[in-house]
Amino acid sequence: MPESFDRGALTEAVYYVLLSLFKPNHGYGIMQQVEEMSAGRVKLGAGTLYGALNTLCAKKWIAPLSESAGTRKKEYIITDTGKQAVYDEIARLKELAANGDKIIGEES
Amino acid sequence: MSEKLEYKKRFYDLEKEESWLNEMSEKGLLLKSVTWGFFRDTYTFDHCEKKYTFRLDYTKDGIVYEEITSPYVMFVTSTYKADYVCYMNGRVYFRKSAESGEFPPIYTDPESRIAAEKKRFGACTGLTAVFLFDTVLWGTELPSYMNAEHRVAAAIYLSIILFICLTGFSLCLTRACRHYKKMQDIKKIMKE
Repeated sequence: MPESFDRGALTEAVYYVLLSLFKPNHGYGIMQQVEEMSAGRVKLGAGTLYGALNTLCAKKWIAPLSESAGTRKKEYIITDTGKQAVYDEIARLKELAANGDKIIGEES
Repeated sequence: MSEKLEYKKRFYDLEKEESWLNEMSEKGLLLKSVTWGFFRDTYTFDHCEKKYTFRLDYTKDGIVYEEITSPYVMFVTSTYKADYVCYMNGRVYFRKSAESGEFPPIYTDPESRIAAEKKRFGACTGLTAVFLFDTVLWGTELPSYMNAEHRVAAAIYLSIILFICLTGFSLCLTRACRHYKKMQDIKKIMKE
């Protein structure tokens, strides 16, 4: 995962985890929301999700909410830095898609 | 027909061990516990008609007094509604009944799978270095011990220490190589 951060691209797992944290959410909720958003295409395994949450916390792109005192259902929320990362990623993806459409358009 | 309930096997690959345990569950044998053995580990099963999905991973929170209380284990059991089975030799075993829903593989993207192997590789390499350092340290002590009194006792004592250091060194080195090879295998698959 560090490799993909350096390239400037986010893995699908990380991108979708960030999206699902624009509102407070916990592991189970994140998993469900990501599966819904991707129509079942992106599934988050325990190791992938746990790793993503820890890495994103370390990068301060998400922050834990101290509300849920039980720590069984630890909740997270995206930070401003995290939101900026999402905006940048969407811009990058839009550029890719726009160029793809353009070239395909020229083909036909 | 009485089926064997104890199997002695040794696995060096998480995925292979996982599929074997899932195959056994399909056959009606549910893993109860695993215990470490020097050459091979002992897998103990129970008869069980209910089908379970097993998922294995490396332990994540270092050395904890009871693995069941580690944050990662609590995360997995609460997020995926899975059961913690046991842990052995740096691996943690989870299971979820098939009827209660899908239990996705622990690593659903190759990047995180590689990251897990890399962490283990790093730990093994570190230990290898420690054992190597100790071997060299005690090895260079040898001449001074040989000139002391109680030569025979010193020789035995030092031989034991050197044996332990060399054993530790070779075990950690082979483990590190296995993790490195696994990382390369996954990267190769990614490129295809």
